[in-house]
Amino acid sequence: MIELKNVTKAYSGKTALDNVSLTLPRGEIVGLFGENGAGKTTLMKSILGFIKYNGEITLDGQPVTTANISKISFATSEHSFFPNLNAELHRDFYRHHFPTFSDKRFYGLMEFFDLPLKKPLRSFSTGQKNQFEVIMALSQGADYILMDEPFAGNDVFNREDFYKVLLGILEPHETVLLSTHLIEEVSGFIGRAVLIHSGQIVGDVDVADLEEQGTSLIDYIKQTYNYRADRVSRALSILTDEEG
Amino acid sequence: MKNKFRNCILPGYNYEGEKTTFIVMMILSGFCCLIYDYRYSTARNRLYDWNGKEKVLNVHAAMPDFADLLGWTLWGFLISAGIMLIYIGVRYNYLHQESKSIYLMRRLPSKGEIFRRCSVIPLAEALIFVLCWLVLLLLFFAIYMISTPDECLTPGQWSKIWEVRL
Amino acid sequence: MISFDGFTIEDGSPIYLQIILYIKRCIIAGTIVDGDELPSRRVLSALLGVNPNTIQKAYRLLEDEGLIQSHSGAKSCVVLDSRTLQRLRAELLESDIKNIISAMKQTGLEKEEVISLIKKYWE
Repeated sequence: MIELKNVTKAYSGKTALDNVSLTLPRGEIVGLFGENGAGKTTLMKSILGFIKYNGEITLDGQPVTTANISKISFATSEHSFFPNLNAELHRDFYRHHFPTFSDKRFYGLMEFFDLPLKKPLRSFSTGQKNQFEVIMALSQGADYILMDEPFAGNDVFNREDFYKVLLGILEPHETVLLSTHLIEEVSGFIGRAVLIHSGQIVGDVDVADLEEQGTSLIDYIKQTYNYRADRVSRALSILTDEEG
Repeated sequence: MKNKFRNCILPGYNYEGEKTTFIVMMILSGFCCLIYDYRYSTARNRLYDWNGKEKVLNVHAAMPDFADLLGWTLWGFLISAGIMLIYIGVRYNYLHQESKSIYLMRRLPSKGEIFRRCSVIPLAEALIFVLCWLVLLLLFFAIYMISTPDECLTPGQWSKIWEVRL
Repeated sequence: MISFDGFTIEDGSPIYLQIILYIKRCIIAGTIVDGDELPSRRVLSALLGVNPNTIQKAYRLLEDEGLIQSHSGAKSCVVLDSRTLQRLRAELLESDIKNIISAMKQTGLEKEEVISLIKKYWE
């Protein structure tokens, strides 16, 4: 389990994470939702130890250090590969550093998505780069897979393919934390939804519970954000009144 | 040994630029040495007078100080060492360009990966330049002391080098 | 192995309920018979793009109703006898008819109007 306790991160003036407490048990598929700048990326980077923060983050009871960081993998829309290297050399590099690396998954997924093994990553399209990024995160052999907007730029068909493949290959002990804007799309795929707004956790719900209540994920999110459905029509009436 | 070397490589980094700089700076610095050679031989020749067809040593002539003859001619190596150190920064920057491979590097379970892969080779390159400088300094000094006729040598040459430096 | 080719996820009701309903309808239609094998939770979850917990819930409820039987390690199988089949038919029929009736009521129709409409459109 990954546990965050009272995690706060402030950049000059701005609070990116405000007293965030969260637990991610093994085996959950968690969607992380929030507007741009809400703190989703900061949250993930804090877990990974990329940035300093106040508070405590533990991985299976221990702080995150080089001793256990291989249990976490990371896929990001910014991409974290070496542009000049080809896919197979990446596999070699990962294999060298992460003994738990799964060749079976790597080659299987590369074939499924029809990605070339011998061409430099730089020559891939954005969609292919995203796919590769996620393939590496899945093949590392990590217990906790963090994905930060991994599908920015992929068309809907290969996104759907991806959710399905993911569901097929994930083992019961593997945990996924996925931040995305594509709420409706992932609502069937995730088991739990965490909402973050201005650095604070404002919602945390089991999708099954929402189903029992008869609320869709989008409705839950709108309710949590106090989204006013009449906002658009009110704005329009103000605008048209002014013009009229 | 091969493994240790492999651990210092930065994956995908285009080494050509760094390599070319190293070679070019080595050549330029080496070229500057030739200038010292020229200075030394010229100064040494001036110790002699021509008496018809024979060379005769002028025992009252003083050989210019080694430090003066050397001047800036070996600085090339030290400057080159500094330039190679800049490549530590270039390599680190490479991890942030186009794709943030820095995120992968920071997730590696072994310590010191980033430092090793960014610093070791440039440090080695800089060290090679420093060693060249040192070896040539000692070599030139040895030649100066041995080759210059004793009568024309002014004492205290070694300490004079360091006075200039400081 | 039971096929889910004809199954699409709709908005409006929980996915686990839709899965249960699909299986029940197939049973009534006869495309699923006693002894048929269900896909494993993981396979179905990947097939439909749906969280495994949802599949788990659907299978568990089907098992509670006595419609399927799980053997640890092996796949789940449908368990049917004629009595269960009849019960299912009755249940689904009742629920379908009730849905139609409430839809008709919403449009403001009277019972006699509905019956004459049914007679008209039966053929």
